[in-house]
Amino acid sequence: MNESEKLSVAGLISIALRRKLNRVIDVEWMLHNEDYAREVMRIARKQDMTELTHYAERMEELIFGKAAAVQSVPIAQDTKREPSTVNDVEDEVVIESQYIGALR
Amino acid sequence: MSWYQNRNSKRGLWLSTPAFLLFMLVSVNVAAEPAPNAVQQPDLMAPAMAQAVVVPASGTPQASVAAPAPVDAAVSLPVPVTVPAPPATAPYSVGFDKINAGDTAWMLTSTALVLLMTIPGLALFYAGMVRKKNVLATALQSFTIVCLVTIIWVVLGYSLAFTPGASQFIGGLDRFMLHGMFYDKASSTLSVSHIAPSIPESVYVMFQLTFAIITPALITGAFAERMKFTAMVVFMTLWSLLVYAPVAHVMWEPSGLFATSGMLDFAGGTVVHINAGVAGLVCAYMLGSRRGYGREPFSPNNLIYTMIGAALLWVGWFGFNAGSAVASDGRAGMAMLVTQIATASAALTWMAIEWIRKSHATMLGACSGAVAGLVAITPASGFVGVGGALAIGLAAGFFCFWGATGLKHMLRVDDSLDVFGIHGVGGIVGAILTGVFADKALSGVDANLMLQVIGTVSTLIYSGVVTWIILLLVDAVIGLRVSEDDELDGLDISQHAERVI
Repeated sequence: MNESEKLSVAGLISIALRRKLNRVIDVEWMLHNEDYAREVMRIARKQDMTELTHYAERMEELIFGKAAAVQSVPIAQDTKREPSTVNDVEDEVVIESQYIGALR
Repeated sequence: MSWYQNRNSKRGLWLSTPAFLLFMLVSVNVAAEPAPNAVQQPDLMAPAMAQAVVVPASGTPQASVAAPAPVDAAVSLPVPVTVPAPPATAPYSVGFDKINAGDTAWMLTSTALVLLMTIPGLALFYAGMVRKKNVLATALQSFTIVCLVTIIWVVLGYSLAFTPGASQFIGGLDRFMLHGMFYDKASSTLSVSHIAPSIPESVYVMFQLTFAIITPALITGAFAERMKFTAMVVFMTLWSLLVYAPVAHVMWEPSGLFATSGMLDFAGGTVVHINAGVAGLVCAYMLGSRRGYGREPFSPNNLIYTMIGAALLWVGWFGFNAGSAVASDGRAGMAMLVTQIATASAALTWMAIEWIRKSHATMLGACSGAVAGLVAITPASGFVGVGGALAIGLAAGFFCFWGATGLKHMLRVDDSLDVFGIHGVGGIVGAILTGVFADKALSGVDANLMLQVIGTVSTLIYSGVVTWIILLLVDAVIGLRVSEDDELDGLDISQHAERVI
């Protein structure tokens, strides 16, 4: 696992949470404080979004390792898809990614 | 002690800096080889000066001399001939009847337009491109600079920039606190600048003030989202006096080195845009990248702000360029026309490049292209025709796109809002192409491409080095950059205890 992958996934969670909850998280702090990261992932899982849940799992795996990630996955996951929301998030990810290291 | 040290020993330590030495070295070479067609400020002074007849406080009176009698004349009596007064070399007083109402009205309008470029134009243009947590801080920087530079200008800046000095590099202190500038209703006299004799000096002071304001305000885009407010205030104070005033003097005051050499800069491509662009680049280097730069998306918070800001810049630029004719005449009309053409041309070019590279045009690209065109036509606006404007716009769109993308990556610097990529590169493109496309029919002067290049390079070096020295000084005393926590919280909260909901 490398730092840039962690940052990338944390960025995706950040964008999705801002979109869904209008909630801003500190991406860098998430990588440095495990308690903060757990709380962010807990909130992410609560949102009924498949994509966000997937990001949270991936983040957990990157930070705590695979075993921890499997253990913490909720048993009753809501797998109901919300296509428009997911697409919006993906669009946003594409839009936001163009501003990494560049404005124009 | 060499001659220039003797002359300038009382002017402060900065005159002995390596930057100034280099600047002088290059400049002296220019002075030694003047352009074949160099004239002294022909674009602004010649027509108006010929009309100046009132004996001024410090100006030159009209002279009457006896012409020598012709050899074959039947009557050998001397014939009195009145010759026009030589151009005044310093501000002087005239009667109200010498003031041109049309010119004055246009210059008052232009002054308001150029001030509109900074607040709210530039403030909105920049505020829209930063993250939400830095919107207020970014806009406040422009607002603060308006206030700060106004005071600096009336106390010392105008005198240093626009009065003759002991050397060709900096003006004198005669106009400290605008001393000598007056309007006297009882005697129906008022003072005028020798550079703009058809309008009151107060209007000219104010017009040039708006240029002195927007130049440092442009720099703020390069260090957006990370500079301490106090450091910004101190830096801008020093920069206005040590960089802007000398460069404006050298380029625009008739006794300034480049003005006498014949370098063309109609409205400030070099004085404003190259100057601000390179200063911005140095600031970005000195402050370092923002936290997370290159790893996190730094999305613009509201591009509608940026569009409104760019539109205000565009409209205000008519005051900037057409106002630089310092007259409401045909040349001002040409300057306005070519400004519009180059801006449209550059915006379309930028969008076309985006379309080719990314399959879509963007709002930010359109705004950026427009500003690039405005920047590049600035030095050329009183000198080129329609064809030149189209070509300059096209070149500006292309090179500034590269400046804000490819060059930015090559330089590996976090110039937050691409001040160098657009203003620096656009200014260089404009300055050089002025030498290519200048039309003698419009201005009465021939351009000298080599002079344009020398002036551009000299300004890049002088501005870059002195900016670097000022930043070192401010860093040592105050510190340039906010703490990591403050940067993460955003400057709105950490520097100003406010935020946008």
